[in-house]
Amino acid sequence: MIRIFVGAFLAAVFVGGLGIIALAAGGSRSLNSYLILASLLFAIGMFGFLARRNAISMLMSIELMLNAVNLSIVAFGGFVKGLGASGSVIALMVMAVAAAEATVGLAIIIAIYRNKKTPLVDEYDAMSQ
Amino acid sequence: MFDLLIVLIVALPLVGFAVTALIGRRLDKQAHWIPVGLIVIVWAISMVVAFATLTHAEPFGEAGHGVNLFTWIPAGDFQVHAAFYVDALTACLLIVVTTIGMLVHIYSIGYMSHDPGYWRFFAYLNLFMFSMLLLVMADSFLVLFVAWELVGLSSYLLIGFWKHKRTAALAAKKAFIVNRVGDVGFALGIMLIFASLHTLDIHGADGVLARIGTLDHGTILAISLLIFAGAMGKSAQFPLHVWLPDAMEGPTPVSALIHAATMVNAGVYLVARTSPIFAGAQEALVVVAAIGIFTAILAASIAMTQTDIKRVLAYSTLSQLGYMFAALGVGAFTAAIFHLMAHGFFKGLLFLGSGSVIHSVHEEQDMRRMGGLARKIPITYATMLVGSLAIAGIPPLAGFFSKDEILGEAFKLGFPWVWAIGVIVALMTAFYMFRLMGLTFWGESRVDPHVEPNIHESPPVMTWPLILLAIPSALVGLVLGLPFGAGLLASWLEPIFTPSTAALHHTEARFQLFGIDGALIVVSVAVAAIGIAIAWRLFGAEIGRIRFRPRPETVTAISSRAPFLYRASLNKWWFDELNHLLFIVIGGRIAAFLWWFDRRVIDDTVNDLAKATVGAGRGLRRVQTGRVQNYALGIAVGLLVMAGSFLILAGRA
Repeated sequence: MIRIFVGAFLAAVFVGGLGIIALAAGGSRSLNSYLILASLLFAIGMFGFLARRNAISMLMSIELMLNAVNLSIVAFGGFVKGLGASGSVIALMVMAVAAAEATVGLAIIIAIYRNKKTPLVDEYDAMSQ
Repeated sequence: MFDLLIVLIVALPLVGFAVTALIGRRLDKQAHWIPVGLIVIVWAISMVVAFATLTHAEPFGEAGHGVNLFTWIPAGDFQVHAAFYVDALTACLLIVVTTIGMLVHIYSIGYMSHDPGYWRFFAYLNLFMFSMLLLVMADSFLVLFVAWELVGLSSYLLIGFWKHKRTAALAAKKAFIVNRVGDVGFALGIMLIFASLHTLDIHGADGVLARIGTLDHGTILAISLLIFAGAMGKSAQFPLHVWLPDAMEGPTPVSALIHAATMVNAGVYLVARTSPIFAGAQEALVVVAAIGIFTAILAASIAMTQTDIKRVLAYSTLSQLGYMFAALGVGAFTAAIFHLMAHGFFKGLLFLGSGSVIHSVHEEQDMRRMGGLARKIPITYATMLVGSLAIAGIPPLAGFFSKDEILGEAFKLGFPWVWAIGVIVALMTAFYMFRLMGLTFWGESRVDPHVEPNIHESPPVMTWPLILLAIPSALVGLVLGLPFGAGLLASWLEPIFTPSTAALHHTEARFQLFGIDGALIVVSVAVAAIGIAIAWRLFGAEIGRIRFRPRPETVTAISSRAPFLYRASLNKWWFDELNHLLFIVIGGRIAAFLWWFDRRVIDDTVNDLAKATVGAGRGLRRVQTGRVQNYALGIAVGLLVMAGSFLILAGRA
């Protein structure tokens, strides 16, 4: 119970800090605030991918990183003159690829799970033996 | 038709070798029929071919006739033809090789009759005949080289014929190895020829001999010295002479055929055949002359004190080969071939005679345990006397004409030092030959009393070859050498050697019987007579009225007067010891050091590198954990490094 509170508190502090940074960088009218948000999302995703042992969580972390990238692309689309709708189109394509990737990834995880009876990747060590 | 005959000369001995080697064991004591029969046929064919060549019949003409059997190595620019070439020089060699070869084959039927390796002996003899005939007829340096190595091989097989005898096996090995030393030079010479002329054919418009003049002087000199290195090995010239005396460990017919009459002449033949090359580099010819005459006197000095009858003849062979090279060196190519032919006959005769002596006294080779054999083996004695007189240079026997021509030419062509040493060698030759005769045939018998009653003349199959060789030994000089300076042999070989002698700028001196030439003849005959007289005084003689008592006490007195010279001669000037010191002791040390260097430095460097690689692999193996997140971390770090360095570089620009 206490962990949920601590987690929620940390999340609130984080989001609040993020908002302060974004406002300091120029709020929703500034490209930098979007990029900062995107890089933070990407860092969180990377941390999750490297630190979580559960394959499903790692897959979710990948999605987080992809979305961070999407965010930055859409932000560039909005702020850079001449790019126009292209940013949005690219983002849509990334989503499509991400959906396909998630499908394949989940299928692999299910297949491994059937063999190994565990979702933890550090027990997938057949290659090192 | 002649093309077929020429091919048959080479092919028949090869067939004889193959057949005898395959089924000889079953034929046992009948094994000689096929090889000897084939060699007799080869002799007949060779006589026909030689006669046609020397009478300039079609298709030989003046210059000779080539037969291209097939292209052996057709490799673009590199063409080697299995081709034969027969001209007067080849014809002379054919006469010597096939005649002596045939007689030795017949003689071997008697000499080897009790040997368990009877069939093997004849197989090897035929292999030798094939190789030697290929050698004298080859028209490509590569074919010549193959034949050159094949005679070396058959020589090795025949020296070591009694392979269970340790000394024979060692002598065979020694002969083979010493010959390889010279052959390295020969092989390099052939490579140099190909590198500079892009052909290995000897004759023909594009052949080596025709185009050698287009090369610069240094290359010609290098080629001729390298070829001469090969000739030195095969013809046992100083310093590669050490193998020939030891080669006498082989059966006596082998010594007669290979190590006296034919194979050892291959070097002389090679230099004569390539005389246009040597003519382009006169320094090389001076080297040839110097080494030849030095070998002549060195070997003659050793022959004077040896007690093994075959070793005396072996050193005598060395000495006479030295004469031939001296003749080649002074530019008297015809004289060299003349001596080659004469020497082939009388030295073949002497060796076969010594074999007959050894046979009659039950395989005893030490002349100190012979003596007084003249009455017991009269045919052997008579024929050997002819041979000894011939080699000593007593007119009108063969050796007189050929040796006198060499000495006379040396003097007239401006090599008085060759002449002077040659005269001394002639004296020594006469002396050691009649020492041999005295110790073997005259005086008191010193034969083992157990053997004494069993001394008997050899069977006819052995004595007939002796008689048949005594005839040319006596007459070949008269037939080929008269009239002086313009004999039959000179007219045969003139067309072949004219370009070479012309290149040497020799002015053709007319022969003056009552001038310089007559004086030189008198000198060499007198010298031979003195040598014989000394030998008679010291070792005895019993020829008709001529009777001398041997004086061993005088011999001892003289040898103790000059102890150093006597011991030097007896110990063959310590060449075997020198070689042992140089190549076994010092060479062995160097080899041991190099072996150590190879093991410790070169091998260890390689091994340590391998160990380092294995160790590095063992360490780096840990990086590959097989866990997906470790790899992902690697990707992330890599990404950070790339992005970071991009930012830094972009910020700097």
